[in-house]
This record gives sequence, structure tokens and C-alpha cells, in this order.
Amino acid sequence: MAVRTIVVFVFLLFLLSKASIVLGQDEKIFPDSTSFVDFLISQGEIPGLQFQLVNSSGQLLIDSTGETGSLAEFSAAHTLKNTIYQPDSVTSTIQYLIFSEPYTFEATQEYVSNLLRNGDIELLGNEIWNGKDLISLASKEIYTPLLSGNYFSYFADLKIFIVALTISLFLVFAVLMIVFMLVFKARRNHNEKLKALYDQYIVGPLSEILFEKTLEELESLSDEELFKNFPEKQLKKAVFEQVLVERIIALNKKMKGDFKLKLKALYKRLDLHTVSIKKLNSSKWANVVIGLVEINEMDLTEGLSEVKKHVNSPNFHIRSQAVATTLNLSDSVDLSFLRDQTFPLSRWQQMNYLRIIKFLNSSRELHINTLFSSENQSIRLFGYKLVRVLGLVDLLEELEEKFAAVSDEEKIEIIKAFEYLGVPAQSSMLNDSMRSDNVKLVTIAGKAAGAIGDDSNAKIIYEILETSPVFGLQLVLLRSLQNLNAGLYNQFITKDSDSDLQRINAHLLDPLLQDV
Amino acid sequence: MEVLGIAFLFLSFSVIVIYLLIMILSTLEMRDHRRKNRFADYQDIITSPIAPGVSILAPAYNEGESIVQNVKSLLSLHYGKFEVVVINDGSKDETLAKMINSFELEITDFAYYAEIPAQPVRGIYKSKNRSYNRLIVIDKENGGKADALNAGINVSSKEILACIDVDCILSHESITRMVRPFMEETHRKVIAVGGVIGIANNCDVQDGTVTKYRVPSTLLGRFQVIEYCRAFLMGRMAWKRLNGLMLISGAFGFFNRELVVEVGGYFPKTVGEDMELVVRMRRYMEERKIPYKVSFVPDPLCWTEVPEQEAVLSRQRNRWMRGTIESLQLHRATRLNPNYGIMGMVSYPYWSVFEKMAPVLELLGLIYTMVIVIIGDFSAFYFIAIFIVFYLLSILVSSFSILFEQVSYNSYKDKKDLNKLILTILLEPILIHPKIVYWGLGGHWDFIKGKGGWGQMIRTGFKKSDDKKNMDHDTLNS
Repeated sequence: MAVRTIVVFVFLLFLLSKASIVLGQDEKIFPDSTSFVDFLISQGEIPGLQFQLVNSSGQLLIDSTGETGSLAEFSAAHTLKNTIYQPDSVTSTIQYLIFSEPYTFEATQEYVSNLLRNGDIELLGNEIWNGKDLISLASKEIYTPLLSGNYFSYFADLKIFIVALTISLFLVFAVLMIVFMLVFKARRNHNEKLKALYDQYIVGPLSEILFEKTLEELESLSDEELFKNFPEKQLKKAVFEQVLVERIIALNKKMKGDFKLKLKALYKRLDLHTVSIKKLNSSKWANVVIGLVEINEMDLTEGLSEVKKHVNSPNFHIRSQAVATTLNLSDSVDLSFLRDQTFPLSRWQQMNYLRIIKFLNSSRELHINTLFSSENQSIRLFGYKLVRVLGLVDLLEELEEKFAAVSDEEKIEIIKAFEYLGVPAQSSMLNDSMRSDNVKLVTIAGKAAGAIGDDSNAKIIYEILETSPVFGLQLVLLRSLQNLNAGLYNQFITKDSDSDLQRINAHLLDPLLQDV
Repeated sequence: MEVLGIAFLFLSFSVIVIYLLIMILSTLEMRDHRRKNRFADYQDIITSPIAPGVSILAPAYNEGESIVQNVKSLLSLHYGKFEVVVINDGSKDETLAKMINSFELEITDFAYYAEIPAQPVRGIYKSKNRSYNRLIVIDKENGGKADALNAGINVSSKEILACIDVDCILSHESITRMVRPFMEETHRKVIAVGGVIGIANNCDVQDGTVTKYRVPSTLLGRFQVIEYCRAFLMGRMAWKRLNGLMLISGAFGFFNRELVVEVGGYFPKTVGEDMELVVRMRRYMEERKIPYKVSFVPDPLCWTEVPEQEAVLSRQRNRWMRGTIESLQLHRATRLNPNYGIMGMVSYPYWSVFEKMAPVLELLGLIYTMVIVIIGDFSAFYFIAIFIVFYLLSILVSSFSILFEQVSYNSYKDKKDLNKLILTILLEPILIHPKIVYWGLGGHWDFIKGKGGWGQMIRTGFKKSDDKKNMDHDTLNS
């Protein structure tokens, strides 16, 4: 790699050196004769150079006034040639004299070029030559700074202005971004230190109150006694209040029985419940969710009416937490508010609601079947999942009745519920599903048939297998057939020597693959 | 010359504007992510019957030295419904033998069906020991990483595929956190979720998690820490905000299995199989007008050792560049095509100009500068101004990414480590960036020569997203 780098570097140096050689070489100043003649006309007198008119045989010509001799300027000779001597009557040419000696056009051109290269004459006219030798002329120029006048004149050039503006804006933005991050980091570090400090302040008094006071004493705690433990001045500080809330909630999660009640009483005595409820009106969604979490954790039923306002919030997080809190805090949980939700229910929400409903199901009458009549398919699907997960066998009959009228996706979920609970369904439910065009539905129904099916299902499975379904479905159906009717299974396996079939058979017989 | 100058100036401004936008978008996205995380209880997912099952696919080639430890680490992840599918891709060392011995594996009569074409499978193993019930080992002919993953997909049975490098260190929480985006969306289907790859060089690892972060000891290693922060914490978070992610790292990516199978799995004839799959999945969804999302989780959940030797790193960068070129080439039908939404109109052009063409444009810029120096049309003012802007831009973006990491996760707590990173930030544009450009150009050159790729096919490209699926087995394995 190093060798390659050196080679590249040397090559670049070589290129640069060659470039300077090329630039240093003498180039023709006048690319053609016309440019030289134009130059002579515009330049006027040139030291050492004179002109005279001669005829075709090289003899000096005399004009009508009888005057002749050399002329200092080419333009004069040119005018003389064109005006005095008529081109048709006399053939004349301009002869070039260098220091009074005649020379050819090329030699004169070279002479003038040398004068220019050496800086012996200064260019008077416009750029009639190729302009490559300006450096020698530039060296004659007296230096004047580019920044003449005030500094702002420099930015009059639009391109410079744009570049400068971009750099400035970029620098300002860059510095602002970094300063913002540094300030943010510093504030966060400061907050963390403060929190750790307040946490130390709080632990002592909190333990003391919890262990030394009864619930009644705590509820009738005087302001004086309260502020002795938690100074009023500190309570007004947002960070202190936040640490106190977080600490109480954390303890509440871990504690049981009387301690939980004491913590809730203290929460209210410190007026933290109003703080939590106030958060529900915040314009920031994160604050609203924090408020909902606090209300949920501390069972603040007084905030329930405010919570219910958020159950149909367009914000996913607010909506999820509001529904979870409503489910948790309502005395008589009526799932109609969930049934009427228009937003689709995500699996994340379903998981959270399931945890709460599972907990409530043991102590309250929830009427899960309310969800079956929802207009929202995701809610109906959630209802079927609840039947399966909570083991609500008594609702299966209702599902069976609905089965024919629901979508394939719902049929799949209903079949899963029957299979999971091990309750045999009507033969038609599985048979109709296995005859569907929807492969997913056929697969689920075929799989369920293996667990809760009967002979009629086995016959349908056999019929489907004879149509050579896709490999995955074949495996599922054969497994079910093996469970339902071993004789029929063996009959099917032995009548066909298809390699796929034999491989599936081997798979199903392998004890290591029972759950694969 | 004037036109070229204006073009380069425009390009320079575009780079600046894009980086500033990336910084803003990633900040907003990270803020939202952290807010959401405050209320998430990941414990529920582990046991919930509603959580999706996950198949972890880990291809292994000559990993004999560490395979047993790595598989044990995978088996100990905290999640309820998951299986670990290790694919021995024709290793020439003791990878398979060590797994057979350590996990009490036995060959089974697994009815393997190549729904996605892959090299022949020699055997599928399961353990007699119920403790290793989640483990499935596939032994197959060598066919490369993409081919091994395709074999794994054929055997997998869960709803989500977690495609990882077997030598990656995964946090115990990795599955729960990566699965969340799949469960959260209500109006769009989440087709894939990418994760951050942290750098484990020089760090302390305990029980499958990095417990103490230290920056790598070499300049190249430290450069990669900065680069990873830029790419993962900034770049991908910004693209996530726009739903324009086109790349999910092959070392740690989660995919919807059904869709992966539907599009025909990985394309084994490209070295950029990870990017190619994501682009193809996105095309599939766009062509069928199904609302979808490619998500990203910025939490540190996966770590890997990065190469610190120049030769290894150069090969990796060469491969990445070829992968990018091949993926873009294969899907050039999406370029500036409004039918492909954000991907066609924003992500693809960005990748084409600022990722694929970046080294070429930098080289052209250098040549242009040399030419104007030679012909004398050179303005020192513009040159110095542009040089300063880009040096500052590099420092700004890198510093921001490190600060971003510090504010979000604060992994590098030691001030000495931070100082080393700052020094690396200052040196990177001068000492390392030219090499990265050079290696990128090497990737272009190798692509032109047709190295490793699949010449004609890649040049022709996929007309539709399911072209790959419709290719027959023999063609794919030719």
C-alpha cells in the first residue's frame, strides 16, 4: 500500500513539474500575420522599427508630393499605400526596416515579439495577441490591494458574497448546534445530580412516615409536620416534585397491602394528585402520558373523568395509556368504550390491555362479548383473542354462531380459540374453512382439525391431500390426518411413493421433530 | 469550465444542506424515541401470548473457535417465542462438529422444502437435550451468506426473522426492543426493523452485554466508532423519520417473514444482499400500494468487532461500495419514479449521488482543481473557502454525532476516551477520509471489472420486485 501511495505521489509531482515546463516554454505571441498587422496598427511607433514602400522589384517608391523615405508608424505606411498609390496602377509593398536595415515580415514579427517578451515596449491597444505572456506585463504593474475602499466593497462580487454567506451561516449553525448539545448535556448532568441529591433527601422522611405513622395519622397529618419532612420551599421546585412522584410510584410498585394505601394517602396529602391530573391538559403529548401513568399507578379515581376524555385521542401513546388507565380504574368496567373505538388496535396495545383485562377478569364481570359487536375489526379480533387467552369457554358458542358471517381473518382467530381451548367445534366450521380458497384459512383449519376434529374432517383432509397441495399445507394436513385417523394416514402414505410425501412421513415420525 | 465550477459549487451546497437536514431530522426522531421509551414496559413482551414469534437466523462459516459460545449466548436471550437457526455454510473447520458435541445434536428427518432456492442441504440437526429445544442447525453446501440465510428462512417457522452475524454480541433485551415496532403500527405494515451495531473492540463484555465501553486503541478503530455514530444514530434515524430507509445492516436486522418469502428471499448474487432485500421489499409494497414502514431502533443492542487492519478494512469498504452499486443498479427502475414514493424520489437519488458516486465526485473535484491550477484559472479564495467549509462540515457532523451519542446513551464515560475521539474527528478528514475515497473508487473499479457480481443480471436489473422470486433455481445457482 505504501509503495502504491509513493508511486501515485511521484506521478502527481511529475505531472505538476511538466505543467510548469509547458508554461515556461516560448510561445508565439502573434498566432498569425493578421494579428501582427493589427498589433502594428494599434501600437503606433515601435522603437527601432520603420516602414517604407517599395515596388515589386524592390525599388523605393516616391509619392505624388515627391516625398519618400521611412515612416515610423505602420498605419501611416498602410494609409500611404492605400490612398496615394492606386492599387491597380502601381504594385507596392511595405518594407520593414529594423534599425534602418530591411527585414522580412517574419523577422520583423519575431523582433516585435522579443520586444514584448522582454518588456521593452508596453502594450497600448486591446488584446490582439494570444495573451499568454501577461506575467511579464503584470510585473510592470504597481501593486494595488484588491480591497480598495472599505471591506464591504469586497463582497460586491456576487460569487464571493454567496460563498461568504454560506460559510458564515454554516459556521453560525454549526456552532449553535454544538452549543445546544453541550448545554443540553450540561443541563441533563446537572438535573441528574440534583435528582440524586433530592433522592437522598426524600428517602429518609419517606421511610420514616411509612414505617412510623398509621394510615389514619398520615391522612390527618398537619401541614407543619408535613413540611418538616418535606420543606414547602423544596416542594415548589419542579425537579424535587418530580423526584418525589417517581420515588413514591416506584415504592408503590414494589409494596403491598397497607404500605400501598399509605403511599396513596401521602401522594394525596402532598397534593401530588392534582399535579398528575393537571398534566392531562398539557399541550405536550409526553406530559399527558406521564400524567396518565401516574394516575394509573396511584389509582387516582378522581382523575378518571379527565382520563376518559383521552380514550379516543388521535395520539397513539395517549390513547393506549388512557384506555389502560380507564380499564384499571373503573369500578364497573364497561368495555363499550373500547368497542366504540374507531382507531385500529395495534398488537402493542392489545398486549397492554390483555395484561390489565387478565388481572381484572378474576375479580370483575367484564362482558368481553361486548367487543364481538364492534364496528372495528381489530377490536373484534382482540375480543376473540381474549376468549382464547382467558379461557372463556362459555363464549365459544357465541363465536360459533357468528362464524359463518365473519371475514377470513376473524375465522382464523375463532378457529385458533377453539383449538387452543381444545373444544370440538361443529364439523361444518372446520370443513367449510378447509374448502376455502384462502390457503391461510385452510392451513389453520387443517391444523385445528388435528386437535379438535372428527372423522368428517379426516375425510376432507384426505380429499385435499389427493389434490397435491403446496408443501407446507401438505405437511400440516398429514400431521392432522395422522392424529385423527392413523389408518387413513397410512393408507395415503403407502399408496403414493412421491418423494415429498415420503420425506414428510419421515419428518412426522421423527421424535425430535414433534414440535417442528 | 465555468459550468463545471457551478456544478461542483451546487454539489457542495447540497452536501451541506443535506447534512444539516440529517442533523435536524435525527434529533427530532431521537427525541420522540426517547419519549416513547419512557412509557414502554418491555417485560410484558417476553411472556405475552400476543407477541410475535422470532426466528434468529445465524449463518456460520469457519466459526469453529467461537461458535459454541455464540450459540449459547443466542439461546439465553430473554424472549418467550423464539428459535435459533444456525446455518453451517459448508465450513471447512470444526464448526459443525463442535456444535454436535456441545449441544448433543442429532441429524433429523426434517422435511426440508426449498421455498426459496438455496445450495443443497446436507442435514438438519436438533438436540436430544430439551434445554436446547430452541436450536436448529442446518448443514449445507457453501453458497455465501445470502444463500445460507435463504436456507435458514426455508427452515424457520416464526413470524419475524432476525438475521444476524453469529459473532455479534446481542443484548438480552435485543429481541423485545426490536419486536416492538412490528407490534406498534396500526395503519401501516412494518416490513423490517434495523438496529444499531456498536463497536466491541477494547470493550468489556459480560453475560452477552457490553458492560464497559472503551474506544479502540487504533486510529482506524476510533474512526469507525465515529463513523458508526454518524451512520446509525444520525443517518438512519433521519431516514426513519422520512420512512426512507433503504439499508438495514446484515449483522442485525429483523424482517417480516411472510414478505421476505413473498419477494423470494435474499439475492445471493450480490455482495450487498442486505440493502438489496430491503429495496426489493419496499418495491413490492409500493407496487401493490400497501402502506408500509421500515423502522429503526437506535438503542445499543448489538455489538461487533470491527476490522482495525487497513487491508481488512479496505476489502470491507470495497465490498460495501460494490454492494451499494449493485443494489442500486438492480433497482434502477425506481430511480426518480414517483410510483415508488420516498424511495424513488428521495432515498434512491440520495444514495446514487451521495453514497455511490461520492468517491467519484471527490476524485473529479480533485482533478478539476488540478486542471484549473494548471490553466491558471484558479482562485485561491474559492479553494480555501471550500476546503474550510468541508473540513468544518466534517468536524461538525462528527462532533454532533458523538454529542448525540453522549446525550442519548452516554456510552463512553471516560474523558480520555472522549478526548481521543475528538482528536480522531480532527484528523479524520486528512488522514482517513482520502483512504476511504480510494477504497470506494476501488469498489467502483472492481464493479466495472465485474468482480464478484453477476454481470449481465445486475446490469439489466429487476423490472419488478418479484423478478427475483420468478428466477429458477438453476439460474440462481449458476
